[in-house]
Formats: sequence, C-alpha cells, structure tokens
Amino acid sequence: MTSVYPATVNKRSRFTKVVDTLEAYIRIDLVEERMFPASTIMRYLAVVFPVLLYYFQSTFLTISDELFMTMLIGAAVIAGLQDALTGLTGRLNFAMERGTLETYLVEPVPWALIPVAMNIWRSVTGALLACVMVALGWLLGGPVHAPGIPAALLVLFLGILACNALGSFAASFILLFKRGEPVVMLYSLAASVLGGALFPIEVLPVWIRWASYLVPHSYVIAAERRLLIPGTPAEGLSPLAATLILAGFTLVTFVAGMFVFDRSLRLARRLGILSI
Amino acid sequence: MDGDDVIVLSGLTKLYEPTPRWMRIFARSHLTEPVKALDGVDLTVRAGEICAIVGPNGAGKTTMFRILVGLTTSTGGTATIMGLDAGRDSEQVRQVVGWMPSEDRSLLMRATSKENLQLHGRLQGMPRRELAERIPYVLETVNLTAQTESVVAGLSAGMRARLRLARALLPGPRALILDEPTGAVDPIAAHGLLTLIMDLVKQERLAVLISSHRLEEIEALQSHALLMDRGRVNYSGDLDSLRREWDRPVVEFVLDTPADAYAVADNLAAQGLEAHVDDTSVRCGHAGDEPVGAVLARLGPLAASIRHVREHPMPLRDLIARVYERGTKA
Ligand SMILES: Nc1ncnc2c1ncn2[C@@H]1O[C@H](COP(=O)(O)OP(=O)(O)OP(=O)(O)O)[C@@H](O)[C@H]1O
Ligand SMILES: [Mg+2]
Repeated sequence: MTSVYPATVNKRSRFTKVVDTLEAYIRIDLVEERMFPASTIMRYLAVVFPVLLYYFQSTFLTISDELFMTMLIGAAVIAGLQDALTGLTGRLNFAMERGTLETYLVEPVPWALIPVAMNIWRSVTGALLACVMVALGWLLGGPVHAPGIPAALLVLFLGILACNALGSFAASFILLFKRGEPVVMLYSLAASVLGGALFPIEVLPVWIRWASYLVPHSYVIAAERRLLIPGTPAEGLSPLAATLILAGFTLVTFVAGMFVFDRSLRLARRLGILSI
Repeated sequence: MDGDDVIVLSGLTKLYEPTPRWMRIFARSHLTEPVKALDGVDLTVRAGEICAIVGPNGAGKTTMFRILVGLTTSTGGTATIMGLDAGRDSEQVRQVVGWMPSEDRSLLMRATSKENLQLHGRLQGMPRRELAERIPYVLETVNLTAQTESVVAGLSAGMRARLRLARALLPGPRALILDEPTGAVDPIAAHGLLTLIMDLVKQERLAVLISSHRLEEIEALQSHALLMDRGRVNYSGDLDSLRREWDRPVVEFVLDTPADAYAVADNLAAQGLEAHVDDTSVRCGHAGDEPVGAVLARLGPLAASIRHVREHPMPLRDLIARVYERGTKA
C-alpha cells in the first residue's frame, strides 16, 4: 500500500551515501540541461571556432601540422579544465543567491561531498569538450598518435581532479566572502599563460617558470603533447613523471581543498552567513 | 530524559556576531553589533505532540529551527532530537527531521514538483521503488497532483508552500519543523494542511514544531504553545491554561436606548470599571475573578433595562499581548 508512512529511519553505509549524493547532483544538472536544451548543443558548436582559428592561423603562418596540434592541444586542455576549475564557484554562487544552498545543506549527506558532487557533471562535459576539440583538429589533418589516447585520457582525468580541488578553494572563498569570480578569473587566465597553452613552458623566462610548476595545467598540457603528437622531441618532463607529479599534486590539493571547504562551511554556518 | 521526548532544548542560546575583522577585508559584515537571537530557551516536545511557537518578527523562531536542522550552531545550551545533538550529530539529525522553511527560495525553481521531490528523496536515501510510490502519495495529500509535472517557477506562492510541506513529509520523518507553513496558503487549504498534520501527529506519533503568525490556527491546533519575544520565553504551556490565567472576558450589556446605555456606563465607571458605549450596547472589561452577578447587582434598578448580557472571551491576540506586556514570566 502506498499510503503507509515509512516505519523506519533510513540507515545507509557511507558508500551508499556517496553514491546517492553523486547521483542526485548529476540529476540536478540533467534537469538544468533539459531546461535549456539548446545551450548544450551551442556549447559544443562553439568549440569549432577556436579549432578553426588555430587551423587558419597555422596555414597563414605556414607552420607544420605538429605545431598546429601543439597549440590546439594546449587550447583544448585549457578549455576542458576551465569548467572543472570554475564550475563549482559558479554553481555555488548561483545556489547561494537563489537560496537553494541551504536545501542542499539540510540533506543528511556529508558536506565535504558537496564540492565534488556539484561539479561532477560540468567536469565530465568539460573533458568531453577537450576531446571534441582534439578530434576536430585530427579531422582537419592534424596528426594524432592513437596508442597514446588512453594514457592521454588518464592525464586529462587527473587534471580535472586537480582543477576541482583548486575550485574548492575558490568555493570556500565564495562561501565566506560571497564574491569569488575575480579570484577564479585571475587564476584561470594566469593558468593559460603559465600552463603554456600555446607554447611549451620552456619558452617562459626562468624567473617566472617556477610558477608554472604550481599550475596543474602545465603538467597536463606537457604530457598530452608528448602522448598525442607523434615525434615530439623528448625534452622536459617525461609523461610518466608529469603524471606522477600531477597525481601527487591532485592528492594534496584534493584533501586540503575538501578540508578548507568543510571548515569554511562551518564558519559560515556559525556566523549565520550561509545564505546572505 | 523520557523515552518519548523527541525535541529537547535546554538553555538554548544563540548570539549572532559580526564577522571577524580579517574577513571584513573582503566583505562587509552583515551585523554591526552582536544580536542575541535566543536567550536560554527550554522546551520539550514529545512524540505525538505539537508545539506552536508564537512571537513577533525577530523573536528568534527561525533561528531556533535553523539550529535544529544544522544550518547554524548554538552558542550556549543544547538542542537534541531523538537524543542526537543538533550540533555534533547534525548529519543523523537531518535524517530524522522534516524541515519546511518559510521561504520559497529553497525549491529548485527550474525543476518540476516531482523532480524536486525526487532529488530530496534520493539524498535522504529512499529506495527508488519506495520513492516512486510515495511521491504521488505526498503530492496528493497536499493536493498538488495536477502540478506534478509543472515547473516550480510556474506555481503560485501557496502551491509552492504546499510543495515544501510535501517535501518535508516525503521521507517519513520522526519530527517535523514547520516555519510559517500556512503563510501563503489560502484559509481553506491551510485548514486542510493543519488537519493533515494533526492526523499525522496522532497516527505516526510525530513531534511537531510549528511557527505561525495566524493565531486562529494556533488555537485550532489545540497544542502546547511557546510565546517568545526577543529570544526569551514569555510563556510555555497549553493555550487553555493560558486562557485561564490571563483571560479577562469582556461583558456586553445590550439595552433599549442609547440613553439607558449611557446611564449604565456611568454607573459602571463609578464602580471603577472601564466601559464603552456603542449605540445601545455597553462593553465592560470586568475586573478579576469577580462574578458578573456582582456587577449586575451593583447596577441596582438600572439592571432591569438590560435586554441581553453577552460575555466575549478575549481574542488570543490580546491575550498574547498581555503576556508580552508582563514581560518575562515562565
Ligand atoms: N543570519 C543572521 N545573522 C545575523 N543575525 C540574524 C541572522 N538571522 C537572524 N538574525 C537576527 O536574529 C533575530 C531573530 O531572527 P529570526 O529570524 O530567528 O526571527 P523570527 O522569529 O523567525 O522572525 P519572523 O517572524 O520575522 O520570521 C533577529 O534580530 C535577526 O535580526
Ligand atoms: Mg522567521
């Protein structure tokens, strides 16, 4: 009978909670995508233009297909990681302004999961965007080293995790100070220079290059180029070394990011500024 | 502690403080000076009991609720639900409480009623099958079946309030916290909702905390009441005893002519009673426990011209106002 009142209180394992939470948040994103069906299509259409931009520029400058791919991969990674980096702050800001943040917070799931859950969909679609860009470059005649693809995807995945972790620092900032876009904007613009979106970071003067090592983008881009472009000179970090450093970076920032986010939520809760 | 005690507050205190100085570099503080929103509130709500929180704007009602559901923390005293501490075991507390906030803003405006409930149900850990059965049921109980697939932004304020109630009821909580549940609901629907809540309380032995500015509703609930003002409790107990203790009924004498009315009024005033004439009737707030008969007796021959005597109980509003006037009294 449907009308019976549930007799017992739900008891769940931690694992079930995590799965339930991720599923529920992805569901919210799907609802949003359904609300604006054309926007998703347009997002994917939009990436055609940067690809064409680099393609025609390469033709104009008469540079090799390899150099075209070098630029394209850099741009694709930056674009792909953009959502992972800024998605959470955007969503959180929206939830705070709308007042739905509290709705999420009164659910019986750990608050530390929120940054991951809120951004998972955006991160995945962002990664897909990067793949679409590279695939378009390949269609335009850019060389792609097929055996490197699985490893390249793994590196991209790690990069996304790292950017999510960095995003949760920005999100903590938003929770406490309500405006975080300038910080994120600054970081993501700096990342395209420091990460070497359109050039290898070896081009950068030595005194600024150390900052590149603090940006996960640089490892992702370097590794992707070595993995995907056939015959890239084996200079700088090897893909394996880049991956390992990236993994370490991700682990540290992830744990620290969750911790800081949880702390900020608690402070905001005590002060009563969760929904201001 | 009694095994039946569901919501227990003891000495609950909340002081909102301005943000620390270092934070003000980035954002202006929302407060200029500390605000004591709750000041040593004691309250027990047992299973199968409703407690109505009444108080003027800023009395601290919402703050109390927000502490219970973990959206803010207390700065003194304790709040427990089913033995779980609202601060420490917040996650478990949130599993057993259904919260209906007073604002629409808590709904996902771009999702449908059903999607809103699905989201909540999944986060509450309700199995898919149970959820699929229960969503139509709760929507029906709040009379929103026709709006199942409507996007929330397109619902009226009262419908959204009913949806928030449906959401609070969905997972079958053991305690319900309703912040002005009927604020935007039309009177007939509001009556229906309160009847529903009262039935649930009886059948499922829920503990309910409810705040409302509609006093006729509070009266209809026949519940325990907590009168609050500026964070302090002014009265705690059932409304009947409140009435017994504070009620000063008004006696109305209806006479034949305005002249008679004025004569009676003068006489009453001479007895030291307050009397107001309105056409042919005189209203008199009669003193203390004195029987009405004594007043009549002192009217002497004038009493013979009285056509009707009516006794009006004090409106709850005035009763409560008197309690506030007297200030803090447990
Ligand atoms: N987030 C907050 N930060 C600082 N002060 C707050 C906050 N929320 C409420 N207050 C203050 O606490 C006091 C109690 O507010 P609360 O919202 O609990 O009142 P209420 O009884 O719910 O009033 P109403 O009937 O208007 O809903 C008020 O003085 C208010 O200014
Ligand atoms: Mg309120």
